[in-house]
Amino acid sequence: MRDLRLGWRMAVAAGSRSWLRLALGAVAGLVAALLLASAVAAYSAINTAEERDEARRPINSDNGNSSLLMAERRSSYRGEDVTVLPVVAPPGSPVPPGLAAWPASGTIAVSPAMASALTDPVLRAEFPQPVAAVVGPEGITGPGELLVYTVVDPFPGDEQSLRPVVGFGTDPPPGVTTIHLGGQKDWTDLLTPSRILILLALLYILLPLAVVIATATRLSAATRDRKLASLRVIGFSARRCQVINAVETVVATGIGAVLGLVLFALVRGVRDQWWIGPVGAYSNDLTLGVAPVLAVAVGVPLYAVLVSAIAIGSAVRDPFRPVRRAPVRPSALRLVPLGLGVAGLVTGLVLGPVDPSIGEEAAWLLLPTAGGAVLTLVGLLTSLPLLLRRFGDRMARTGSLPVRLGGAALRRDSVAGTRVLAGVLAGLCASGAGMVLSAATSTDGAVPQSHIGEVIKMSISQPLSPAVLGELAAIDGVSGVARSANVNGTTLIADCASLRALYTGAESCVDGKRYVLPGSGGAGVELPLVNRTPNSRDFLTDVVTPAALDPAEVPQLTSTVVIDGGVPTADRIRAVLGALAPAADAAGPIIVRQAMDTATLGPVVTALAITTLSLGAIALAITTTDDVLRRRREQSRLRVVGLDPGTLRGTALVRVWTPTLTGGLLTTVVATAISAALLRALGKPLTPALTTVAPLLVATVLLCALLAVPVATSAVPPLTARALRRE
Amino acid sequence: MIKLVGVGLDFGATKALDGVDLAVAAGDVVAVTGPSGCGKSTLLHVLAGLLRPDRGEVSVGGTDLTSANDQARTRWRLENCGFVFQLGDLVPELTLLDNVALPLDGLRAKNARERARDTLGELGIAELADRFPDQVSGGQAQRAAIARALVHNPPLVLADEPTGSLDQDSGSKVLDLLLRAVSDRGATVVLATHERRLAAAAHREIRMLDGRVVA
Repeated sequence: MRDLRLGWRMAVAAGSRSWLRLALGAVAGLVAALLLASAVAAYSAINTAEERDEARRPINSDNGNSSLLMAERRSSYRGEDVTVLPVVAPPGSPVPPGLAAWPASGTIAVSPAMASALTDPVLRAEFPQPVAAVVGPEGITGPGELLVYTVVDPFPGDEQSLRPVVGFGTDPPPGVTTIHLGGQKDWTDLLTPSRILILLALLYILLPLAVVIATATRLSAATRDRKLASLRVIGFSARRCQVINAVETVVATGIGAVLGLVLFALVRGVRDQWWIGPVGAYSNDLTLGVAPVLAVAVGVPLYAVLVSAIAIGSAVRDPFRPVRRAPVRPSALRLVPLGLGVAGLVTGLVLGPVDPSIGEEAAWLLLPTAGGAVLTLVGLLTSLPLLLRRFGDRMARTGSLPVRLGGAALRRDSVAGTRVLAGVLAGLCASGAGMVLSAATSTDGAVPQSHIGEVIKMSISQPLSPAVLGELAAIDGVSGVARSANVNGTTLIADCASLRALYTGAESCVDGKRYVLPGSGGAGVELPLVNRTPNSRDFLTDVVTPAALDPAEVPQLTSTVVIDGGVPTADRIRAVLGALAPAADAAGPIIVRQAMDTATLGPVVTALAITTLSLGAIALAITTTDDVLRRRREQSRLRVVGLDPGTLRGTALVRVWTPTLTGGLLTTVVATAISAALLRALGKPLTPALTTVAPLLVATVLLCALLAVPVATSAVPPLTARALRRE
Repeated sequence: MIKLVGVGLDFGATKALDGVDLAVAAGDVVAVTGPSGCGKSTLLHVLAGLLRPDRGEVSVGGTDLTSANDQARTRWRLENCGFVFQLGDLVPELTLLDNVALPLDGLRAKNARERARDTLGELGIAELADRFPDQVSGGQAQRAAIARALVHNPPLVLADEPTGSLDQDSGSKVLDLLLRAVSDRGATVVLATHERRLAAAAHREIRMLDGRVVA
C-alpha cells in the first residue's frame, strides 16, 4: 500500500518534467483508447451490418405458399456496387426489413444513398421509374449502400432467374423447407477480410503505442534512472520499484484511457454516419458494450505497465550502472534479429511465389517471408541504437570539430531518442510495405474487388461434361468453372484454366503432360498435368508418372463452380444441375475463397500509416524537446569554453542528422527488401518496391533532415548573463 | 562490524577491487581516500551489498553479503544501511520530508513522517520539510540526504563524497552534522573522499590505489 501511495505521489508530483510525463502518458492512453474503441466499434458495426444483411436475405422455397418472386442482379455506379432486386410482389407478399409495404408496380424503392445518387442523370437513365419509397436503416447494411427494389409485373427478363420467396431472414416460416446450400458454419467463416484487417489494425496500433509509452516512461531517462537507483540503494527491492513505476504509469495512461473513451463517445455522436468500409456505418451501429469498455479502460494501462516495466527493467535490475553514470553499451546481439530477418527475406525470395490458396503448405512456404519481415522490423528497432553508438565512436575520433563533438555526443546519448526514431521508422517501414501490397493487389484481376471479398466454390463430386460446365459458366454470377482432382488430399491435378478459376496467384501456370483420369463411364477424361505453377511444382513430383499410381490412389475427378454472385446464384446452379445432371451431388459444404479486399486494405493501411506517423511525431517532438532543453545547458558550457555558435550549430546538426540519415537509409533498405520479398511471394513484379517505396522513403528522410535544421539551431542558445549564472 | 577478506571485483579487464582486506570496528569512522578511479566508490557499493564481489568474503554486522541473494541483500540494506551520495540523489517528485521517510518501511505513515520531521530538525532544515529537492540549495539537499541515511538509525552509514558538490562552508557544516549525528547513534561510518579535511575528521584513514588498500 505504501508503494502504491508513493507511486501516486510521484505520478502527480509538481514540476514541469513530471507534468510533461503525466501529460505524455495520458496522451498515449487517450490515443490508444480512442483507436481501440474505434476499432472495436467498427467491428461491432460490421457485425450489425451483417445481421441486417441476413435479416433481409430472401428465403427461397419451392413449397412455400408465396407468390412473391425475386431476382438479383448487379450493377455499378462510379465504381460502387449497385444491388438491383427485381420483384414481382402481389398484395400480401412478405416485405423485407426497411419497407412498410411493397410500392406499386412500375415504381422503385431505394436506399437513401441511392436516392441521392439518382439526382445524377446518368444513373437516372438506368432507373427512370418513380421512387415510391426509401428503404429504412434496418433494411440496408450501411448508409452508403446503393440498393434498388424494382417492383415489376410482369417480369420483363428471363423468368428462370426469379425465385419464389417465402420470407426474409434466416428462419423460414413453419412447414417450409428451404433449398439453401450450406455446410455448417465454423470459426473460419468469421474471419472475413474486414474482420482480419481490424484485428491486424488492433495489433498494429500496439507498436507505435509502445513507442509513445516507452518515451513517456523514459522521459528524462538519466534523472529517472538515478531516482530508481537511489530507491534501490536505500533498500527498495526491484519489485517495489516496478510497483511504484506501474502506479505512475497506470495513473497517467488510465486518465488518458478514460478521456479517450469519453472522447470516442462525444466524437461518435457528432455525425449520424461514418465512412467505415465501402458502405459506411451509422453512428448508432458504432456501439461499445460494457465488456469492451472495461477491456479498453483496463487493457490500455496494463499494456502501458508492461511496456514501461520492460523500459525501466535494466535500471531497476542494475542500479549500480546509473549511480556511476556509466553509459549504456548496446550489445552486438542487437544485430541478431536483423540478420535473421534478412535471412528470412532472402529465403523467401529464393523460394519464389506462393499461392495462399493452396492450403496448409502455403503457410509454411510463406513463413520465411512473413517471419523475415517481422524480424527485420524488430531488428530495425534493436540495431539502430547500436549502429548509432558505433558511428558516434568513429566520428568522435575523426573529422572536423563539429563532427567530433557530434559523434561524442551520440556516443553517450540517451537511448530514448533513438528508440523513438527507430519506432517511427519501423512503423514507416510497415506502412510502406503495406502500401506496396495494397497497390500490387489492387491491380490483381484475380482478387475480388467487392466489399464482401468472398467467392463461393461449389464442389460437385462427379465429373461434368463440357456441355454442362458450359451451361453453368453462362449463368449470371458464375465467375468460372474448373475440373480438378486431388491425390492424397495434397496434390492437385488440373489444367491452368481451372487453376486460374480456383485460385488467385496462378497467372504463370504452364500446362504440361496430359493425364488421363478414369471417367464415370469408363471412357476416361483427359486433363493436362500442370508441371509448373508458381508454387505447386514441388507437390506434383509424385504423380509425374501416372502409371506408378496404385489403383486405390487414382484420384476422383471433381467439378467446381466458382461463384461470385452469392448464395442466390448457388441456389440457381443447384436448380440447373438438378435438371441437367440429376446424378451430380452438389450438396457438399460451400467453401468460401477469401482474398484481401483491396477496397478496404488501402484506407486501413493509410490510416495505420497516419496513426503511426502521428504517434511517432508526438513522441519524437517531446523527446527532442526534452533533449534540446538538456542540450542547451551543455551548449552554453561550450560557449563559455570559447566555441563559436557556428561550430555549435554544426555539432547540433551532426547530432540530429546522423540518426535521421542513418535510420532513413536503413529504413529505405529494409522497407524495400520487405516489399520486394512480399511482392515476390505474391508472384508480382518487383518494380513497385524500387519505384514507389524507395523514393518515397528517401523523400521522407530528406524532409525530416530539413525539418531538423531549426530544431538543431534552437539548441544553441545566446550566451546571456542568466545562462552564465546558471552554469 | 565490517570484515573483508581478499575481496576482488572485475569490470571487464579492469580490476576495480583487487585483494582488499579490511576490518572496521563498530562505531568507527573510516575515511577511504585515493585518486579518482582507485575503487573507493566500488568498495562502498560492495559494503552496501549493491555489488557482489567476484572473489573473497564480505561480512557486515555478522551478515555474510557474499552468499546472500539480491533480495536478502536489499532487505539487509533497508534495515541496516544508510547511504549518502555526492549529489544527494533525492527523489525529485517527493518533498524532503517524504524523501527522508522512504527508509521507514515498517512504520505507519504518520509515525514515519513524524520521525522524518524530527531527523530533518536534527539537521536544521525542519522548515524545509515540505519543499521539493529542486526548491532548496545543494547544501540543504545534502542535509536531507544525510537525514534520509540516518532516519532509521542504521548501524552502518556509507557516504560517497558527501561534500564533494558543496562549497567549503556548506561542506564543513554538512560534515559536522553527519559526524555528530552518527556519533549520537553510535553508527559505523565509511566515507569515500579525496578531501583531506574530511579524511582528517575520521578516526582512521584507508588509502587505496588501483583497487588495492595500500595504507
